[in-house]
Amino acid sequence: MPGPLDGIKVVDASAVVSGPLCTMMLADQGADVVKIEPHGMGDTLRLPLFSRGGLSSFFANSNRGKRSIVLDLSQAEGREIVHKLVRDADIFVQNWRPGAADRLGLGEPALRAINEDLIYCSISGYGPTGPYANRRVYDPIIQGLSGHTGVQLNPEFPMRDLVRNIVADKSSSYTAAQAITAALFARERGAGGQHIEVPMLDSSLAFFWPDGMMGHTFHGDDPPPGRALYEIYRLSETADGHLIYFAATDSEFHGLFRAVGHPEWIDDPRFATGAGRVGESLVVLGELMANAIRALPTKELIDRMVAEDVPVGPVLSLEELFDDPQIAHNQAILDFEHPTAGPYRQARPAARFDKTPQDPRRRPPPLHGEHTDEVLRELGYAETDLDRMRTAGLIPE
Amino acid sequence: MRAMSGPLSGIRVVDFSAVVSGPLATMILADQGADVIKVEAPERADLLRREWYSRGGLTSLFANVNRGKRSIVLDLRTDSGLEAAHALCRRADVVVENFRPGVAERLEIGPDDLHAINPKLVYCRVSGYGQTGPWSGRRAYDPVAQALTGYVAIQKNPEVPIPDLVRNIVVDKAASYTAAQAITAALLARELGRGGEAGKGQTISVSLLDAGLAFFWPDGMMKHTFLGDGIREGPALYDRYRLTETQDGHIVMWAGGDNEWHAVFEALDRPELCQDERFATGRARADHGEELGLILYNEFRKWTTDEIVKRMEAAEAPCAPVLGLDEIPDNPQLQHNETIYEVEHQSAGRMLQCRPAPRFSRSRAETGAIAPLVGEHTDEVLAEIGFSPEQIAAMREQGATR
Repeated sequence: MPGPLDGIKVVDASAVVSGPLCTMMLADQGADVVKIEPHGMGDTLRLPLFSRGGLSSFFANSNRGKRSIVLDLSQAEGREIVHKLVRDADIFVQNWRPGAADRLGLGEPALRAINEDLIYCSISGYGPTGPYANRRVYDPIIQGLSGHTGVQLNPEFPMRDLVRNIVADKSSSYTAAQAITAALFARERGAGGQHIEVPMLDSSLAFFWPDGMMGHTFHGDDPPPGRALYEIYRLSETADGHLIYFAATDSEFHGLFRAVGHPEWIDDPRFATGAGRVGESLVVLGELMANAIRALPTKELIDRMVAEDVPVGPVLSLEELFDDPQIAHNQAILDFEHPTAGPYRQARPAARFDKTPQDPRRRPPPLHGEHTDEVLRELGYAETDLDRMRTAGLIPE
Repeated sequence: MRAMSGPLSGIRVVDFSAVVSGPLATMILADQGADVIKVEAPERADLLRREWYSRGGLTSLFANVNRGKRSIVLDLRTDSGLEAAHALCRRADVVVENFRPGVAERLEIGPDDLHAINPKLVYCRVSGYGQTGPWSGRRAYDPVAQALTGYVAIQKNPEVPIPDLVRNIVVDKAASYTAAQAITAALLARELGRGGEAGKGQTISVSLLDAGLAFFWPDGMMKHTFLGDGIREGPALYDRYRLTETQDGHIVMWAGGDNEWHAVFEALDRPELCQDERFATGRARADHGEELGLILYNEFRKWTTDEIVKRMEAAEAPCAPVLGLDEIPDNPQLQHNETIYEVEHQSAGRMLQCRPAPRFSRSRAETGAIAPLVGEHTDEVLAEIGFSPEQIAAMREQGATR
C-alpha cells in the first residue's frame, strides 16, 4: 500500500536539521525527495561523528528515504538542473539565510515562474526580514530566545541548563512538514501553489508557548495566580534511584497515597482535594511524599503505583530503551542494514495509518551524491552530458 | 482562485480529546481554518479547565491549546447525547480522541462505529503507550513518557550531573504535531485517492511513547544508531550542550565551522587565536579541547552579557542571551515578526497568544480566535445539525447536555 504522500515530488535544497527532518517525514509518507548537496563534504550533518561506511548516524536519522544529487550551484548549468527538477516537482524546500536563494536564482519568484503550482517552503532562523534576519543560527541559540532555556532550571538546584535535545530545530521541522501537507491539500482544493515561510524563532516559541508561557498568557491589571508546569516538574528519589510520577486529579492523588502506604492522607483535608493542596499544605505534602518515596526501592514503588492507576514510570537510560516491553511491543524501533554503513536502528515514524502506511524502509539514507547520475538521467541527460558535467566539476567525478 | 482562507478551511473536525496531546493537534487544524467542535462531558470538562492561571472561566493552558474551537457539552452515555455526537460525526471529515484504549469503543464512538456511519472519516486516536501492549492500559502524562524515551536520561549537565526533566511538555507536543501532520496527510490522501477508493477515510494511531521517541531520536540517539564495530566515535550533541557564563549571567553560543570560530575569537578581542594552529581546524580544536575550553571560560567571564552579545553579533558569531519569560515579548525580532499578539476575551480579559509559525502566502492562518468557554456553542452547534430548541431543552432536562 502506498503512503499518503505517494506520488508527491520534493526538491530539497536544505541542510543540517530543520529542513532535512521535515522532508524525511514527507519521504516516510511516500514522497520522492531529491536532496541537493554541495561538493566536498556535503550536508554539515555528514560530519564524521558516529560514522561508518560514508554515513553518519545524525545524517542517517534525518535523511532516510531520500535520493542525493551533488551539484555545483555556482555554475549556471547547476542552477538550470535545479530548475528542471522543479518544473516537475510539487514542493521545494530550502533553509539558506534570507536572500541567498534569490542570489542563486532559486528564490520563490524565480521558481514560481517555472512552476506556478509549486509549494515553496523557506525555513529561516529568525524570519525573512527584521533585525536578526541575517544572523547565523543553531538550535541552542533559538532555545535561548524562545523560553526553553529560560525555564530549564531545577528549583531545588537552581543551575540553568539547555534542553539537551535540539527541540527548536525539530519543532520547526514538524511545523514545516504539517504546513507543507496543508498547502498540498489546499492546492488540491483549488488554492494554487504558494510560499510558506517558517521562521525557527517563531516555531520554537509556538511550540514552547502552551505550557511554557501559561504564567504569561493572561495579562492586564489582575493576572490570575498559579504555578507553571515547569515549576512543578520533578524527579523523585527512591531508595535506589529515581522515578517519575505525575498526579493531576484527586483520584490520582488518592491512588498515590495508597501506593506509598499512607491511605490516611485521603481523609486529611489538607491533602484530599485540589483546593486543599495549595500553599503550606502543599509544602507539607511534598516533604511527606519525598520521605515516603525515599523509603522504598524504585521497582516496588512503580508496581504499587501502577496497581493504583497512578501515572508513573522509571527513568530509562538510552541503552534500556531497547529492552522496554512497550517500546518492543509497539515495534517502535526498527533494525536496518545499510550496504556500506552496516547495521543500524531508527525510531519508526510515530503515526500509524491503516490504509496508507508509512514506509521508512523504502530507501536507505543516501551516500553523498549516490543518485546524481540516476536523477540526471531521469531528467533526460545523456552519458555524454554527464561526462561533460564531470569534467566541468559540476557533478562529482 | 479562492479568496484567502486557511488551507484547511471547509474541513470539519469533531474533537473528543482532552488535556494536551489531542487538543493541541486540533488547534493546529483550527488555526488553519478547520471548524473544530470540541465535545466535553457535563460532569467532567477538560482537565485543563481546572487549576491555575484561571480568569473568567478560562485557564491559560486551556486557552493555549484550544484556540479557535467551538465547545459543545454532551453526555455520551445518554441516548440523545450519543445521537448528537453521531450526527456531528456523520458530516465531519476528522475525528480525534485520546481516551484510554477501549473507552471510545465502549462509548460507541470507536473507529468501526463511526466509519459505519461515515466512511470518509479520518479517525485519529492518540494514546499514551499504544492501543495494545503491556503498558496500554496505564495512565500517561508527559513527564512519565519523557522518562521512557530518553529525554530525562540525558537531561544532565556533565559538569554538574544532577538529573532533570525537560521542563516543557515536549512529548505531549511532539505527539500533537505528529498527529496534526498525519491527519493532514490523510486528508490529502483521501483527496488523491491513495490507499483505496478516493473519498475513503482511514484510522491513524499515534502514541506519546512512539511520538516522543521518534522526536528524540535524530540527535538524542546518535550514539545508539549504528550497531556493531568499526564506528568512528564522536561526542553526541547533548554532551556538548552548555551555557556560557559571562560576568553577570549567561549566554548561549555555538560555533560550527572555522569562520564561526574566528568570529568568536574576534568578539572576545583575541584575534591572534585565529592564527593559532591549535585551533585552526575542527580536528585541531578537538585535539586541544581543554585548552580552548579554558580560554573561552576565562575570556567570556571578562564581559557582561550585554557587551559580549553585541560583540558576537557584530562579528557574526552565533549567539543569544538567555531570555527570561518576561523578556520574550520585548525581543525586537519577535516584535518585527509580530509573533505575539494580544486578544481580549469577553470574560477572561486580555491575553497574549503566539501566532502559528507557518506564514502561508495564499492561505490565511487565524489570529484573533480565542478558546471557548465550556459549552459556549452547545445550542449553536446542535441547531446546525438539525436539533430544534425543544429537543435541546429536552436534552438539558435529561442531563444529556447543560
